Amino acid sequence: MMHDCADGDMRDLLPGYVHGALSAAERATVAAHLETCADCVAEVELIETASRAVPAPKVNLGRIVKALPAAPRGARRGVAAGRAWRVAAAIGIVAIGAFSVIALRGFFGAAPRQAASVPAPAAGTALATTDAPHAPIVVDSPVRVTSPAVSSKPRSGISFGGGISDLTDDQLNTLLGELDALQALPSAEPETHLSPIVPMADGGHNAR
Amino acid sequence: MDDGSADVALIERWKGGDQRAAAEIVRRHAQALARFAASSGEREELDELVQDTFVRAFNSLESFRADSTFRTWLFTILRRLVLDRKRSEKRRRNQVELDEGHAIQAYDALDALVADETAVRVRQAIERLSPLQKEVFVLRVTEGMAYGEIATLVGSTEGACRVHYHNAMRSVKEFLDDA
Repeated sequence: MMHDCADGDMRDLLPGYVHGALSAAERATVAAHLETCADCVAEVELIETASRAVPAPKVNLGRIVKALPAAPRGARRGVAAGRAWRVAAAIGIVAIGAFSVIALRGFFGAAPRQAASVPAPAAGTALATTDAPHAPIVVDSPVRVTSPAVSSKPRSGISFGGGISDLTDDQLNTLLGELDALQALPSAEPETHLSPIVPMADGGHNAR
Repeated sequence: MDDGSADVALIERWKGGDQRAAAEIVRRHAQALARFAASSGEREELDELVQDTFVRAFNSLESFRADSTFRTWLFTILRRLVLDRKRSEKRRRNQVELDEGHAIQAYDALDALVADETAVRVRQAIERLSPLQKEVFVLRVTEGMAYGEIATLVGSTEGACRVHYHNAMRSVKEFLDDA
C-alpha cells in the first residue's frame, strides 16, 4: 500500500530531485528527508518509473533541422549583398553615362569656352596642354592660338581657343576631319566604347 | 548556465546567423516534445508534429519575449497543434472525442517500447487520468517542469496545477495498489 508523505512541500520537490532541477541546498534537504521517509522514497521510485513509462518516440532530427528557416542575419546578409551589387551596378551605369555626356559636351557644347591642345598640322607638332584653368592655348609654331574670352567656369573637355579665322587652311582641315570623326551623339544607353578620359591639370577631364 | 539561459544563448546565436544553433535547439527539445505529443494521444506523424512546432517557433522567434522559458514556449506551441489536430480529426470523423477505452487501446502500441511490467502498469494508470491531470502529471514526472511552467503551458494557475498533480499521483498509486 502506497501512502503520501504528510510533507506536501517536500513532495513537490521530488520531481525536481529526480530530474536534477533543484539547487544544491534543496537537493541536500531532499536527500536528508529521504533518509527517513519511506513514502517519499517510494514516490521517487514511482516518478522514475513513470518517466520510463512515457517513452519518447524517435524523431528524425535531421529532417526537422532541414525544415527550419534560415538564420535571419545570414539571410539578410545575402539580401544586402544582392542590393549592394545592384546599387553598385546602377552607380556604374550612371557614372559611365555621366562621363559620356561630359566628354561629348566637351567636344561639342563647351568647345568655344574650353582650352585644350589640338594638333598643329602645319608643323606636325602637338599643342601643349594647358596647365592653368584660364591659361590661353598655346599652339606650337607656326600658329599661336590664344583664347581671348575664356569662360570663368572651370573647364573640362577638349576645346580650342581663338577664332577659327586664326587657323591656317591645313589646321582647319585637320580640325574638320577630327570633328567628322566625332559624329556620335549622347545616347540614352551607356556607351560601351568610350574615348579614354584623361585628367586635366585643372581637375577637369579631357577626352582624346 | 541553466537550461533556459542556454536556450536564450542558442537563440541569439541563431539570430546572428549560426544555423548550427538551431540544430542544437532541436536536439535539446525534440524528443521531449515527441514524448509529450505521444502522451497526449498523438500516435501518427509525430515527426511532422514536432517539425511543425519548431518551424512555427523559429518563424516567430521575434515575438518570443522570454516571459516564459523557450522550452515552455515550444511545448505551448505543440500543445496547440495537438489540440488543433484533434479538433480537425474530430470534425473529420464527425464523432465525439476518443473515450478512455479508445485511448488505452491506442496507447497499447507503445507497450513494446516499455521494457518492464511495472512501467506498463504505471503507463496504464496514467492513461486513466483526466486529460488535464495527465498533462500536468506527465510534464512533472517526465520533464521535471515546475508548476509555474506547466500553468503557463496549459493556461491554468500554479495552485490548480499543484492540485492536479497530487490528485494524479494519488490516482496512480491507487491503481498500482489495486493491480
